[in-house]
Amino acid sequence: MRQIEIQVGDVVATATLRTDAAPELTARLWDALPIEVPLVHAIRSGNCAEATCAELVDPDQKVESQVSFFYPGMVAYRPATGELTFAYGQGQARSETGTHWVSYVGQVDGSGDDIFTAWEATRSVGVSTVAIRRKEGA
Amino acid sequence: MTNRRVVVECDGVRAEMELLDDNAPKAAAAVWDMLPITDDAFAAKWSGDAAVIHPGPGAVQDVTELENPVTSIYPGAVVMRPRGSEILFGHGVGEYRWGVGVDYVVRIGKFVTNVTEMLAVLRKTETEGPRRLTMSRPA
Repeated sequence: MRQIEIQVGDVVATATLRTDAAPELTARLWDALPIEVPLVHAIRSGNCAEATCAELVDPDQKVESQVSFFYPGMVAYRPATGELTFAYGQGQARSETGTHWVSYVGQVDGSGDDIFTAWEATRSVGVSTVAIRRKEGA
Repeated sequence: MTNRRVVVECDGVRAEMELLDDNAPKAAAAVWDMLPITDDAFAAKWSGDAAVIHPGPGAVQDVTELENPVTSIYPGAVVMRPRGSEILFGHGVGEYRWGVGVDYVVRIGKFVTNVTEMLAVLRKTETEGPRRLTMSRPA
């Protein structure tokens, strides 16, 4: 089982990668870690925060375990743009032209209340930073 | 009849918005009645490049119909939901959406002065957080 840590400010949460459902994309993410990138609130996808990482861009990569709707705790990855989405509530993968598919690559472990608050706060405080790393011992 | 003007001030920038009395007479009249309106303008989370305020209780809550409804929110356009739950100020590519998808709004205004500067301030809500915004009648 592969687990990652997601940190925003002083808040750290653990998420489990869905390696069975999305083997290639979880491996791609795992191999890119650690990363530290700007985090902003979504402006079209609802209750989630978003980050983009150049290392994760792969326009030819198939979207595994594809979803469009987001639920609390979901971590999603859009390989065409290298975008990661962190959902703290209801959302849907949307762009200027409409709805699209993303890969459901991870799920926050436990209740996630603190990290959800941190993700939601990007709407109030503006750009933050998200650090993602491999969980020690995972 | 010349449309009325509304002064919009946000983060030190002042612009005038033409109130679209001819396009949405009921909604425009209700907004005019409620002025001044002050609220924190947040970046939209469903509708794209637009800043959102919530006018609060008042005449806009009695406006139930969609007058010349639209979904697109163009740069400089100001739109309102029926019953006045929110007013959105477009600064880029926007379309009125919420959890269940696309929906309709009423065009109540458009910025006609200091447009570039005002749109730049509204755009900052996406990366810098909310900005205090006031809509008022000209002095």
